[in-house]
Parts: sequence; C-alpha cells; structure tokens
Amino acid sequence: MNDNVTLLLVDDLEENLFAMAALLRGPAVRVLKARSGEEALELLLVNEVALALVDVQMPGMDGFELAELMRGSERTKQVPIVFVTAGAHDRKRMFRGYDSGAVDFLYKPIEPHILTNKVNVFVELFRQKQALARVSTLQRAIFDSANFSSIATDANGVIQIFNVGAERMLGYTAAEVMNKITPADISDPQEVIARAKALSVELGTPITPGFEALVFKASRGIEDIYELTYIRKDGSRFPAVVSVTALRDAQEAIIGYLLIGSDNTARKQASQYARSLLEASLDPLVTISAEGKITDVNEGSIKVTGVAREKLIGTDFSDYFTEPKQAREGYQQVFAKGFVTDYPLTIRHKDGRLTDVLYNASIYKDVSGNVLGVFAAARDITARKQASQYARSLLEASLDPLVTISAEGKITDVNEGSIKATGVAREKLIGTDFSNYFTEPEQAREGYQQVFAKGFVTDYPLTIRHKNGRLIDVLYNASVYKDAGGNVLGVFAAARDITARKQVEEGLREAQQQLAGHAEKLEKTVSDRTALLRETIEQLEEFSYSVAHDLRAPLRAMQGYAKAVLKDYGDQIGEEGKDYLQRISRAGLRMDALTRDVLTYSKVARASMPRESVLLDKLVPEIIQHYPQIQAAQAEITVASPLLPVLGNEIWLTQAISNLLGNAVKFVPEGTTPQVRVRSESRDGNVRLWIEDNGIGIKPEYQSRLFGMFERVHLNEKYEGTGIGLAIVRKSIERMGGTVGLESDGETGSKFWIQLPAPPENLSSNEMTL
Amino acid sequence: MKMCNQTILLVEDNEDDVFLMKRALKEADILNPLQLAVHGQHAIDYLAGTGKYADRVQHPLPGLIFLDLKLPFKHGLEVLRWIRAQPSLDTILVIVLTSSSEEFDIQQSYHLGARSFLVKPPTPEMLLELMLSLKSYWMKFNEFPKPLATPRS
Repeated sequence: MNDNVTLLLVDDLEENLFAMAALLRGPAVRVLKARSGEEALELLLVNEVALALVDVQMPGMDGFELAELMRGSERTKQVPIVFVTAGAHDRKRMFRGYDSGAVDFLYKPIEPHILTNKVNVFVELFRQKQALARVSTLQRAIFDSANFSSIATDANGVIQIFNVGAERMLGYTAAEVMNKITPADISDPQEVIARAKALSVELGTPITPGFEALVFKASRGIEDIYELTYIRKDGSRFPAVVSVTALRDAQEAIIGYLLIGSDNTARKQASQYARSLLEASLDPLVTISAEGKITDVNEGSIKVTGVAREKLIGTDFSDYFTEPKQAREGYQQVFAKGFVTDYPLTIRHKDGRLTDVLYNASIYKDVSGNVLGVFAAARDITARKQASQYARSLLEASLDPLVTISAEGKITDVNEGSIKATGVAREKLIGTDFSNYFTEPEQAREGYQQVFAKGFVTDYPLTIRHKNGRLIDVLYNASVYKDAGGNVLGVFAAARDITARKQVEEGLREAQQQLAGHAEKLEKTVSDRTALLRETIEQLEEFSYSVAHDLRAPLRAMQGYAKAVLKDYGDQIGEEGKDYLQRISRAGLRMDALTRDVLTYSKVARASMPRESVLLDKLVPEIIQHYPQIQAAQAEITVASPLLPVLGNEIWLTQAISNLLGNAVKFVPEGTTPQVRVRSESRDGNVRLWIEDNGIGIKPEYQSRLFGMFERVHLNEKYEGTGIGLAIVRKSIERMGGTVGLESDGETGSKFWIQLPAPPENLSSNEMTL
Repeated sequence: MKMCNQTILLVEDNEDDVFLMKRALKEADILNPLQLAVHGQHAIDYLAGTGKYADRVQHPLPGLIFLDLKLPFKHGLEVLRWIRAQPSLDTILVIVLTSSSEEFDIQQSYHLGARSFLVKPPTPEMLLELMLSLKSYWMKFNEFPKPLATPRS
C-alpha cells in the first residue's frame, strides 16, 4: 500500500513553486508542480492528489476557473483546494472561491508555519479518509462476495446478517433466517454433537452441542477455523471451511459472532480424487516442491522407504536414494524440461534394503498454470526383474522341454529343454507353430486346443521330432495360464521325456550295482581287517602263552639249582654264600609272581566276561575260606551279612575280591591283628561292596596312582607285592561295567570299594553278555 | 595191580626241568625206571614203538606219563590226542605237568584223557611236596588195570 500523500502546487511563477515545494516536501509527501491550470488538470488525471494549493491569479485559466473544472469532474471533485491569494480583504473573491469548492485560503506573503500547519491538517484528513475508504471497500467486497458466506449473529447466535454469498450457498434469503435461527440450525447436527464432544475433552469443560459448539473457541479468543457440513434449504449438504470471529464492543464484551464460510466441495473432491489416484498405485508416488521437499506420498512410498508419511513429508526427496545427487538432478530436470521418463534411481529402505526403480515424473500446475511441484512415480524394477528371472529360472530349472503357446498355437517361450529336444534355437522356435515339431501335428494341435477348452491336459502322448530325425516319446502335461485379471494368456505345456526317464532308471540300476560292488569290497575289507586283527590277537595270545611257559622255566631253574647248591654244598660255601643263594631264590620267586600277575592282567583285558547275577553273600565267605593268602594272616574278617547280589562275572569278581581281601590283611603294622569288615550298600540301582581294614592306610596324595600298573605305594621290604593286584581289580571291575575306589586318611586303615550294577529283578542267574 | 615197578615216561624238553624232576623223584623215593622224551614226536615214537623203541625190553611201555604241554615239533595236547586214538594205550596214566594254568589247556587236557593237570611249582621244595603226594595217591593207593596188550610183545 502506498502511504505517500501527493500535493499539487499550481502557480505561474517558478520561484513561488520552488519556495512552497521546499517547505512542503517531506518523507511521505510528494509535491507536484503545475505552472498553469491546464497542466494542473493533466496531473490530476493521473495522480491522486490530497490537496491542491492553487494560485488564484494566473494568466490564462485562473484559479477559480481551475477549481470549477475540478468540481465538474468525478475524479477530481473530492480534492480539497486551498487558494493562495494576495488580497485577503477581497471578500467578493473569497466567496467566489468558496463557491467554486475552495476549503481555505492562504494569503501572500506566505507564512511558512501557517502553510505547513494548514497543509498538515489536510494531509492527515486525506489519510484518514483514504484508510476509511479502503476498509469500507473491503467490507463491502467481503459482504458482497458470492464466494464467501458471511453470517453475523448476536451474542446468542441468532443470525443478524446473512450476506449474498450465504444466500447463494445455502439457498435461504436473508429475510428467511435473520432474527429466526442460529448457524447451528443449518449445520450437520451429528458434526455439531461430535464437535461439542471433542471440544469438551480438548478444553476440559462441558460444551453444549449447538451454537456454543460452533463459537466456543472463538468466544475464548482462540483462532478457530474448521470444516463443517452446511445443510441447504433444500436439504442437500456441502462441506465448508468456516472461520469464526467473536465481535466485541469497546469494552471487549462479546456482542456477536461472525462466521465466514467457503464452499470446500470442489477442493475436497479434487484432493480425494488425487489421493485415490495416488493410492491406487502400488508404485511409490511422491509430489515434490520446487525446493525438493516431499509434499505428499502414497502408501507405496511408505513401504519402499520404511518411513511414515508424516516423517516423509517435508523432508528432502533426495534423502531416500543411494545417489542423492542424481535424485536432485532428476527433479531439477523435471522442473526444467517439464518431465523425465525412466529415470533410474535406487531407493534405500531404512533397514538398508535397496530397490531399483525407474522414475517417470512431470510437473503439475494450478488452474492458472503456475507450477506447483513435481509428481514422480517410481516403477519398482527389482520385483519385475526378479519375477521374470524367477519365472525364467523355474522354466530353466526343468530338464523337461517346456513351452508356452498362444491361443493361435504359436510358441511364445521355450526353455533349454525344448531347444535340446528339437535341435532348434530359441529364437527360431518362438513365433512358430507348436505343432510343427511333432510327428503327428494334428494330434499336437488337438492337444493344446483341448487345454484351451478344458483348462488342462495330463499325460498327453506325443512324439517330438528332433531336426536330425531323432524321435523322443513324451507325455505332455499342460494348463492355461492367466493374467492377474483372470484372462487366459496362453498354454503352459511341460513334456516329460520318457526316454530320459528310462535312461535315468538305467543309470539308477548301474548306480545300485556299483553300490553293491562297493558294499562287497567294503565287506571284504572289513573281513580282511578282522582277520588281521584276529591274527594279531592270536599272536598276542601266543606271546602270553610263551611268557607263561618259557619265561617261568628259567625261574624254576634258578630256584632249583640255588636250592640244590644249598642242599648239596651248603656246608662248603659258608653263611655269606648261603645268603646269596637265598637271595637268588627269592628274586626268582618274586619274578615268578610278577610273571603270573602280568599274565592275569593281560587276560583281564581280553577275556570274555559274561555277566550274571552273583550272590556275594555266598561268594565272599567262600573266598575267605579258600584263599591261602587270606588264611595265612590269621585275620579277623567279619561279613555284614546279607551282602547284596551284583551283576558281574563270578570268576573275575572272585579274583578282584580276593585281591582286595589279600591286601586288607597284608598291609597292617607289625604286631597288629588284621581286622577286616566286608559290607554292602545299595546306591541308585548299583551295589557298593566295601572292604574296610585297620591297616596302614594310604595317604590321599597316593590314592590316584594306586590302581595303576606296577604302582606300589609302600616300601618293598615291608610289604611285598607286584604292584599289579589293584590294576587287575580295576580293570576287571570296569570291564564288568563297574567302578572302584577307596577312602583313607593314610592313618586309620583303608576302605576299598567296588561298585557294580544290581541285577535286574527278574534276573536270577541267567547270563547276560557284555 | 599197583604201580610198583612200572616205567615212568617224562615228556619234557627243558633239561633244567628234567634235572629238577629227577632230583625231586629221587628225593621222594620214587624209584621206578624213568624214560625221557624231549619233544612231542619223540613221545609218540616211543609209545608207538617205532625204530629203536620197538625194543620193549629197553623201552617198555610206561604206566605213567608226565607230559609237558609246550613242546617242540608236537604239542603236548597233540600227543594226548594221539594216545587217545590208540585203544591199546588207554590205560596209561597221563599227568599233565606244565608251566601255566591256561583254562583252555586244562579243559583240552582232561577232554583228551589226562587224569590230572599240575602246574610246575616255582620251588624245588614245592615240587618235592607235589611228588610226595603223587606217590602216596597214585602209587600207594590207586589200583591200575593190567595192560591189555603190548604192541610187539
């Protein structure tokens, strides 16, 4: 808006013009100078002038004449005129001046401050008048606008003003509504109720459904623009956007409300249409502003980016691509050229997944042709590529000849299998008659016609003729295939090559024979190995047999000759000589014991050890009675009868128990009577047999070594032994599926135990094999 | 009849054992004539009376055989099997006297007609004890049948 005020100075004397202009010119004051009445009229035609200062006495047209002319013209008659004259006393002239439209007089010589003050009054007046005129023009424009319904009410909502626009939109005349109804009466009652409810919640105060609901916010001084459905006089409805303002008096008290509404139908329909178009597409669609910001998206865009609509809108379009620069160039190109086609980009999903797309985009404009933005549609070619690749790979995955056939019987696609079967290249097959490639073309034709008629055929026999003359018997399975809309596109036919099947069967038979051959070979290898193993075992047994016999013979000889010398020549060799011979004899004896124990141990390792229920309550007393090494010690042995039966091998159990009992009575301090207690206990389906003695015990640090071969934890001279007895015990018990152990503090005797499974309830003495 | 003066055949390849055996027999006062075979074939030849053993005056059939099992050329068990196949020799008392008590050997020996299975004791004292008990049982108390026939006699 131009706030400048224009003043017109009319004087025939340049110096007067100059002087006055100098006094009046200011920041918002423009001064036009005219040297004659004619010039002044010209200027008045093209400028809006706030005040004209007119010299009365001018050659030609004088001031009064000018004023009269101005009064005669619509454009200039409102311009106030101040005459500048020399004679204040000339009353007659003054009256003429007023008659011709002057508003004031200034007298020469001009007093600058009078001039400026007077002019300022007029300038201010002009400004106010102008402002008032502007407002009233606007108000009138608003009230007369057919595009807006303006409805003013009193404080209670009763309509007081109903403008032309309202009459046109709603079909009522102002007289029909004024002082009669409120705007709520012409609004959708459901919406009024819903609005009252929503506002009650939002503002935390109960709001009556009715007029209050329409103006409540405005009454609280809150700017309020909302969508509302108005109901016309004829009952039809239309969506409106309503802006509500509270009208207040000087004391700020509400005296009424103004509801300005506009018909939203067209916009709403247009935007719904646009949106449904947008959403109808599965492709990602966006609209982009000139600044490259996303202004709208469809569901497709949300899916492909993984970003919600409201987060997409307002962000940079280029953010969502692997190549943001290329994306930017893309939409810039659209703004420049008006469109792009098949512009390749790659969308990056927020989880990192990439989608190759081709963009087709164009600018879109408002009704007056202004470019509003770019509309861009992406075509996801990943899916397309994959789908066609998938279909092709499915096709090619089959070794069978596969073809697709058009309704006219032309081949539309083939796989490698078909090329092989016919000997004809793909491009030569496609487009030719399917029936060409069979010995019985008529039958082939009937075949696919049957598919089109029935939807499918199964095991339809045909014979393919290879271009080199070779024939292939096949069975066809075929069905129609359809597009997404269910329209039949063609026939998909798969031939099963029976020749190939025969070959496969042949191959299978061969493979089976080979397999049988391998199995035979394997069996032979196994039996060879077994024989070798058996031989090894035999050799081992032979070895131990030799040990048993040949190793012991020299020991007997040592014994025998030593004793013979002692007996026959004892008196000749003296005491020392006798001692030596006795030592030889003892050494021989010990070696014999060692040999025997090693043999036993080697037998434990390989002897068959069938298991049966062993009645320890019977076996233990027998061992105590019969084993000489236990008898000799004159021990006190108590058996906590009854001992529980175990599952084991009686022969080796006897060996093990007698070894343990032998140890129990052997390792006692000198002068102590060995006291041994034998007892048994049940432990989770096992039986533990304890042999507890009052002997010298075994220190815990030696216990782990105790059951090893040749391990002796006592000094030789005091407690003689081979160091194999406990190894035999462990080996034999473990081979029976049991465990051995001991408890001893190394001072107050030892508690050895062997643990074996308890025999099953129903098993008395039936043999079980390991 | 009693053993009295019947010949004893010792089948033993180890000369130390032969020495110890002779010494033990002597100490036990078993004075029967003693013949020696040093391997299995030798024993069979003796019993069959082949070659120089045809002379039963020089080499009379034994009433008792001490048979070692681990022998050169022919194993003791083969000797036993051979004896068992000779009906004329079935009254001869065969006592296996060997180094080790293999379960298999014990079973086979009895199966093939041995009347006793003894393990050579490690000391001469124990051997003497064994010979003494043998003497009282087999030579003092046991009654033997008369030999049915003697080959070539």
